Amino acid sequence: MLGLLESIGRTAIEWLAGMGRMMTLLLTALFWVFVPPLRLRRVVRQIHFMGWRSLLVVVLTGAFTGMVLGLQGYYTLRKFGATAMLGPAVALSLIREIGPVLCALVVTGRAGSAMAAEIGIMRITDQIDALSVMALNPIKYLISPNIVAGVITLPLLAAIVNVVGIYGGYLVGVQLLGVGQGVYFGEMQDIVSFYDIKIGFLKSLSFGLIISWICCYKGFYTRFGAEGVSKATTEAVVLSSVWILICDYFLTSVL
Amino acid sequence: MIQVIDVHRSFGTQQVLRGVNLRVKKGEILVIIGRSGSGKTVMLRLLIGLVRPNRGQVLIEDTNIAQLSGRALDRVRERFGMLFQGGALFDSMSVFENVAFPLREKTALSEPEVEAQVQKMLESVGLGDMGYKFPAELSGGMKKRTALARALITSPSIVLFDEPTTGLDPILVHAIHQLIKDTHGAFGYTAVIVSHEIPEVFDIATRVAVIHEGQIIADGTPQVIRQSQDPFIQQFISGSLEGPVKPL
Repeated sequence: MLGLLESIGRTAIEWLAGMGRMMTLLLTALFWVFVPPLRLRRVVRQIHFMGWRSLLVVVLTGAFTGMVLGLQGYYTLRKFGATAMLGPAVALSLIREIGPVLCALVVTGRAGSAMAAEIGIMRITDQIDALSVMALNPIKYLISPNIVAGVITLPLLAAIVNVVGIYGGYLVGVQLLGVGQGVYFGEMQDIVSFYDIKIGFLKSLSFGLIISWICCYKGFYTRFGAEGVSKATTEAVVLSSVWILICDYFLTSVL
Repeated sequence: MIQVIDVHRSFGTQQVLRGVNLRVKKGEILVIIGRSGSGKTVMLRLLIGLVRPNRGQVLIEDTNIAQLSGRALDRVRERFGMLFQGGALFDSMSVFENVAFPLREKTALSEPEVEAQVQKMLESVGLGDMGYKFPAELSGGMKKRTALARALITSPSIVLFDEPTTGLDPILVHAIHQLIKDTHGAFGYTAVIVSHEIPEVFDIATRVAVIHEGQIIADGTPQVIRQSQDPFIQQFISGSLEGPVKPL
């Protein structure tokens, strides 16, 4: 009995310590973002890595998601004689919900995992200690630029997903199923407001922060060699994905 | 120049250092030897503030590095160079960029000045025409030489070497030792070397310290250590299976 209590206590303490480390890392990284010199070159490099190199997969995701929304939306709305609402249905689903979430999940799998692995390898091969020895703050050098890049990249990618998805819905709804082009875009223009776009923007901003924060954290505290890197990478992807979905729910209910 | 006073350090339940006392004089090459897991690398990391002692002091010219953090710690670290066991070269950078990195980050030198200094340093470690290569394309010896070049490029007054010759063939071991000797002569830094390369490393050492069970058990010139009557030191230097230490 005592052993069980000890084990529960130890796990709870480790969990709390982990949460504390994670929060400290975020606050420290955010602090260093505002302390010059700004590592603009690293920020641009990370935007290129997270954004440009994820573009193809993000575009494909957006296109097919929009097409599926167009198809499903059309057959559902037809039951109520409301196919004119297809444009707004596709656009609102994408802009408020699916665009930011799908985009974040894709970037987590493609770039977040690589980020965790890269920093993890740097940890186990002493490259992070080498930065410290050179009197360079590894959090400022490695993590802060990733956080800035994540916060910039995700809204941009989500915007691309939204646009591509809306045209995917157009392709199916208008070109294949015969909804009028004017109706598709006209209703969309009337119903989708700037507030909807703002919600999507805020969500993707938050997801960008979550991805870079969690993936960097997992990489930064990697231990025990190659197995540790593999574990950190998996945990980074799983934890980021779960947090994205949890955060999505709360943002949706609050905003 | 460096003084370690009654330093204790443990990791979890494992007590690694149990009251270490050590003094490193300016300009000397101190070699720390000891069995695997005896705390040599922890000692080296303590000297540069990568590990903090649980108890005791680590003085770098009267400044207790164990109590420093942030910019104050960075200011002390700027006087150090360190060669890590695996080199710790940045994978995403070429040899040239690795060596140029500390200059670009920590000095206000212009790019032509950086290039000139890096090229000169690369030539001094025999890698003058290898600047374009990436760490993954280098042999073990080349990696160590690149790491040495990077450690020395800012002209540090103290250089720490964590097993600089591990995994190299005997010829390269001698070459790296010679390189350390030559650069020490040229730059005049104080060196602390952790090594298993016995007796070869005695050729470059000014002084040797033996660490055993978390304490410095002997400290003297290579000659003194060679002639020590301590049964552990005798067994360790000769690599004999017979003696106080049972290897398995």
